[in-house]
Amino acid sequence: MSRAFDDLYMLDRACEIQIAALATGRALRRIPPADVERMRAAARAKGIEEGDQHFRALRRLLWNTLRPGRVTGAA
Amino acid sequence: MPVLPFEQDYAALSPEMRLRVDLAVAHRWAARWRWNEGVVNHFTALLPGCNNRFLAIPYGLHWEEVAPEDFLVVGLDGLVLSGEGEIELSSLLIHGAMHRDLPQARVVLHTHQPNITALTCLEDQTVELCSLHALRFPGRIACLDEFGMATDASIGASDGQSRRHGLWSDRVSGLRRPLHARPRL
Repeated sequence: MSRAFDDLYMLDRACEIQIAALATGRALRRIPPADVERMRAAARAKGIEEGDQHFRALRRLLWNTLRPGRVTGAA
Repeated sequence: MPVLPFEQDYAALSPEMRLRVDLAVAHRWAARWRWNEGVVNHFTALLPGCNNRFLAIPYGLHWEEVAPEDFLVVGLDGLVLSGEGEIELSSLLIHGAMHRDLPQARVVLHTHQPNITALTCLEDQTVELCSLHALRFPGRIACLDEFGMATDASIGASDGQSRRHGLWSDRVSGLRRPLHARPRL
C-alpha cells in the first residue's frame, strides 16, 4: 500500500511541476538521458524507502481517528 | 525514527486489520488532496494470503469518512461476502478484473488526480523527465488508448494511465506494460 500510494503522490507532484513549467510558455529543460540512466535505479530505491516512511507518517497522523476499537477505547 | 507505542499497537493487529487501517489512511489522505471524484473512484486491496477476495469501500460512503471496519469483503464475481452495503459497479468491473488477472498487484488505486488527469487531456501525454520527481517513473507508466465509461467489462484488466479515465497504481514495479498497452479481456 505505502509504495503504491507514494507512487501516486510523486506522480502527482511530477505532473504538477511539469504543468507549472509548461504554463510559463518557455521550453522544458529535460534531464540528459545519460543522467536519467545513471540516477533512475537510485531514484527508484530511494522512492521505496521514502514511500514507506511517508505512509508511516500519514498513518501516524490519523491513528487516533482510525485505530480499531477507538469507540470503546479498546485495542 | 524509533517505533512509537501506537505503532506497536498497529503491528499487533491482524494482517487483515492492518490492511484495513492502511486502506482507510489512503482514502482519507487522498480525499484531503482532492484525488477523489465525489464518492467514486476506488482503492481496493486483495486480502492477505488470498487471491479471490478484496476489500472495497461501500458505495456512497465518502473517502473522508471511511473507517477500517467499513470496508466490504468482495469476491471476484462481485458478491459481497461481509460488511454493510453494496459495491459500486465500476469498482467491481475495474478492480474485480484487475484483481482477477493481476494477483501480484495486491492493491489497486484508481484516482482522478487533477494534475495527472490534466496530462491525459493532451495529445502528448508524456510525463517529461524534467524533474527529480519524474525520475521514479521511466518505464513504469502504461497508457490505454481507449476511452470509456467503466460500465462494461471491457475496461478492466489493464493498469496504468487511461486517457481521460483515471490512474491506477499497484505495488509491483515490474508489472507495468509498455505505453499504449491494450486491455486484454
